[in-house]
Amino acid sequence: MSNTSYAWSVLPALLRGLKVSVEATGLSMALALIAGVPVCLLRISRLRALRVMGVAIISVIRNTPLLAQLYVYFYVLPEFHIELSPLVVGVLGLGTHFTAYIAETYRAGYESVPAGQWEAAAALNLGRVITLGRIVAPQALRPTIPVLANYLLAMFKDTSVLTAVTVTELFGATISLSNESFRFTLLYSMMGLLYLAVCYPAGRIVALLERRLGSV
Amino acid sequence: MTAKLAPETAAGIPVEFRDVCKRYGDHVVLDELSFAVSPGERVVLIGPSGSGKTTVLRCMMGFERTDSGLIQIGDAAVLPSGRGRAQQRRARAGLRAARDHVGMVFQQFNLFPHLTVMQNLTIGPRHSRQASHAEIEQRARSLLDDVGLASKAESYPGQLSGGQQQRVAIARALAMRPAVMLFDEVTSALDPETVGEVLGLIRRIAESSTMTMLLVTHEMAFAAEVADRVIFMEQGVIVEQGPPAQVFNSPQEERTRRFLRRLDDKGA
Repeated sequence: MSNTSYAWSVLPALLRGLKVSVEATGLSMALALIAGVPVCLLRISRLRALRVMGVAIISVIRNTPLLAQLYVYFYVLPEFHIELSPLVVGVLGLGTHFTAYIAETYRAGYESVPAGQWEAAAALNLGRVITLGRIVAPQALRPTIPVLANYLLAMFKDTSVLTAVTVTELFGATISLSNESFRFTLLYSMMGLLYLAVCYPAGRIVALLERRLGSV
Repeated sequence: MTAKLAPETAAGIPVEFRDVCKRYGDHVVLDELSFAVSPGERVVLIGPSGSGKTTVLRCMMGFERTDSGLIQIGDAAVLPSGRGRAQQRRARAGLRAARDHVGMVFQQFNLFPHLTVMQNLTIGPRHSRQASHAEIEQRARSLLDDVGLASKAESYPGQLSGGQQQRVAIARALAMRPAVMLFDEVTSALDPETVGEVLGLIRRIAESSTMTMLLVTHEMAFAAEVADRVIFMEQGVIVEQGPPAQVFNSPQEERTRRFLRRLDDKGA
């Protein structure tokens, strides 16, 4: 089979892999964006015990490798009779990993809000919850948007790690195809182009967001 | 500009500082400070930077916690935060009550940049549930009209000049119907050409309301005009106080004379 016709024949399989990569990214990001909120709240709590808990969660996640964390979910959880599908393990692993970084991003945004905003809210006798929700959070989030977009991009590339827990995303699909055909150069070139086709335009959008919204 | 301020404001209440101390480490900011302000009185605090005059206002709002002493604002007592749980709860409740009575205008305006001018004015009253939404909205509109910014209701603070922002900030404080108004160097961050519009507005508020007012300012001509009493502070204590004519024209204390001379030299 010629290179061209072989390329066409494997393209659907690679695109299916890309689709899995995109799905895993979307689900993991949703998890991280949501879980980042309580972790950030722990981290900025006025109570020392909660703050220590927040720091502990973030430190453990940031100071151990992503791949190792995935293996914990994949091999350790079943020992406690928690059996999850590979994709769920992947999303859980990636999502919790990025939760730590996103919680810290939220915190940077929170700290970027000037003290005068808190004081103005206090002068209007707004309670702490309303001050956080209506005054601080909207201002804190704006400069985090480019950073979060950057993490989304990093996460998309990191989905390649999910191969290790048997998720057939783009990288995994490439590996299994090349193990059958040994057309490494062709397949890896195609894989690279597909990653590039997603990441390059996405990166341009992130740069645009940074210019428009500033960055923490 | 119209002479009167249309929306009715609350009547002034008394304020008293009793032996208030505030320290940062070894540095004493307020040194057993005591003074009383009667309802509706306008007191201007002057003094060199670091004299503690801004701290006086910030302690009333609880932005700085006092170390000892009592600040009585009407029926509200602002106390040191204290050690015991009951004491802390009492201090918090006192602070909330104080903030109910007191409105503050800041040097840096501190408008909420993500909210429209209208939302800046209504967010406080809405959450204190003192009136219906319609009433709050209507009152905010008439306040905006009064400060000459009715056409800017839907603008964002970033679209306004410094002077306009400060007028919105004043309207925002008034929307809470405070009995005491604090003005903390409210023209210091303004371009010289917009200082007049803000001072003019404060003058009108002073004329047409009976609120108690405490002002920290470097505008001595304005102080002389609006104040019932001028307090000159240095290093956390009151050096001299009295009617503006007395403090400005025939100061009794050498330190007051030196301060005023330095201002004259700078052409202020």
